Amino acid sequence: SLKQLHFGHCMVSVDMYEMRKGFGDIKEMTQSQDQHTSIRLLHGSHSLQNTKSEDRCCFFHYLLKFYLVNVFNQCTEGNNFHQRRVSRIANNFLSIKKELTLCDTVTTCSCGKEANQRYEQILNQFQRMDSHSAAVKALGELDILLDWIDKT
Amino acid sequence: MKHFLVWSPVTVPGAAVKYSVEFQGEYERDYANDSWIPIGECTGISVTQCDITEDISATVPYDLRVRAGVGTQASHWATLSSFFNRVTTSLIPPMLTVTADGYHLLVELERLGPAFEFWIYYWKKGQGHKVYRKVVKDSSTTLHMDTMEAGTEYCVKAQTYVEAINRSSNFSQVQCVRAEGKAIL
Amino acid sequence: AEPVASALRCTLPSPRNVHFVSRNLKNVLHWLPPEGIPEDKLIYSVKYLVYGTARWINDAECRNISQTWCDLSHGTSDHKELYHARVKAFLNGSCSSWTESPRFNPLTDTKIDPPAFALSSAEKSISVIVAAPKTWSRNSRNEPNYLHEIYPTLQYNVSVFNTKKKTQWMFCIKSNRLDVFHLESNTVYCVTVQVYIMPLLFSGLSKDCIATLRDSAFKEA
Repeated sequence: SLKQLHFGHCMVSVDMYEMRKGFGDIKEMTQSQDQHTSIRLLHGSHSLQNTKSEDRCCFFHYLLKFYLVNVFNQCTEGNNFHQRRVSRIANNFLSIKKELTLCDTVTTCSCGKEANQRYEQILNQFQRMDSHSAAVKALGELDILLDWIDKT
Repeated sequence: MKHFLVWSPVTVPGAAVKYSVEFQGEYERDYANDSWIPIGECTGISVTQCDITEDISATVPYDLRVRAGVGTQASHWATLSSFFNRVTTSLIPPMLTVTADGYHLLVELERLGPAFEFWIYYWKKGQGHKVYRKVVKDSSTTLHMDTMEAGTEYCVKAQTYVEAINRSSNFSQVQCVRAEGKAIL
Repeated sequence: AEPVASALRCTLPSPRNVHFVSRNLKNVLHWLPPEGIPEDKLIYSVKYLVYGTARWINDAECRNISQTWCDLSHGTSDHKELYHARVKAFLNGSCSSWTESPRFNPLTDTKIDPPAFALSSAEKSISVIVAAPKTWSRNSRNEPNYLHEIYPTLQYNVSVFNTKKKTQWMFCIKSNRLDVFHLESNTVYCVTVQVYIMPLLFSGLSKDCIATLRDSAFKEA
């Protein structure tokens, strides 16, 4: 259940079972708090798997940092169970990001126009909402990101 | 993989001492203002051990702390002398039962949960240069390794492998069994 | 035509527990009737929304219906999308407010049915042939879609149980055929087959038994 993502000569492993199990436990509660169903942050049109391969590493790095900096720490209220599940996912994201930064980021993770554009679209949409609602929406869309990782 | 936090008891004559445990991953230190998260199942417990496996679920350094309480009084927190990272977990060789069922080489393994893979090696006795390997995910019943040649002895050994921390155990004891029938010389 | 909600006073209690029940990507919306209202006169209307868009879409099959379910497979057949649905009740000129379903992700929220399979046997062997599970198809006359086209990691867990010796063996196969040789003649073997896609997505077990043929060496003269 360990998914290996290859970016050039760099390889990053994602524990899909851990992530899907952790998210599955908080999915319904998190998504039910998201009333803005007409807004979607992670659009199918700019998914990770159909990003140009040379930009994929950078876009993935952006997404990891986005969740670590903007999302998880806004979602720590709720009961102890919810807190521990968010911590579980957050620390797995950090573990992946650390692996990614070990890669030779100069060559492997170069940030081209597509990676920057796609990330900007997500960030712009995120910043149009109030920060807590946006963080709850982003956390609720984690299954979309996990599907992207599965398909990459 | 199972991880336990253990500590020495605090004795207060005539009082029932209760303990509470909290954990902090690298995420909480770096991105969430050094926050600590209580472990619900280990809040107000009287035993001096807590199963932290469910919460130590990423390959990053964790800090853990425990304090004692009697009524409304609580001790200072006692924290680990150094961070705990699950890559340091020690993997013990798997328990293995090898049987021959007629011409069929069968292996029975203990169930260790979804984090584990079993790497099973088998060969014809005396032909150690030609070893076959099977990778088995979470296993619950007897596994069919191969169909054996009549009357031939086969040997098996296994080790566990945990992808999440990229570590494997030592090998189990080698076990050999013989297929039914007469060997063709 | 559906009574125009705005002209009605929506004071009825709402439908309850609106949720998708999906099997092999056949996505059916279910709900419970409003509390405390005789069910026989109630009618319902259903709408669904592609998550991230603002337009609630009517489904022609799910308007002015009296049953408490409706098949939304057609509208939710794009597996890359996520969906919400909602239901409203009507009774004698009054109506309820909408009740919405949780977000539905077809790929991860569907349940996989146990697969069908055929068994055949010879004197000392059995063969297991699994029928590749189909998904809901837009039009039954069309070429069906198969689960393995949608889930490339799909595999089958097959167990073979010797009822005489009480021993069970596990096999894990990617193709849909398994042949097991060197078995005992004149013995009943029970087989179970399970579809396995990923740690949190697998089917229940389907089961069947078959006997290997009697040993030809002992055939009556």
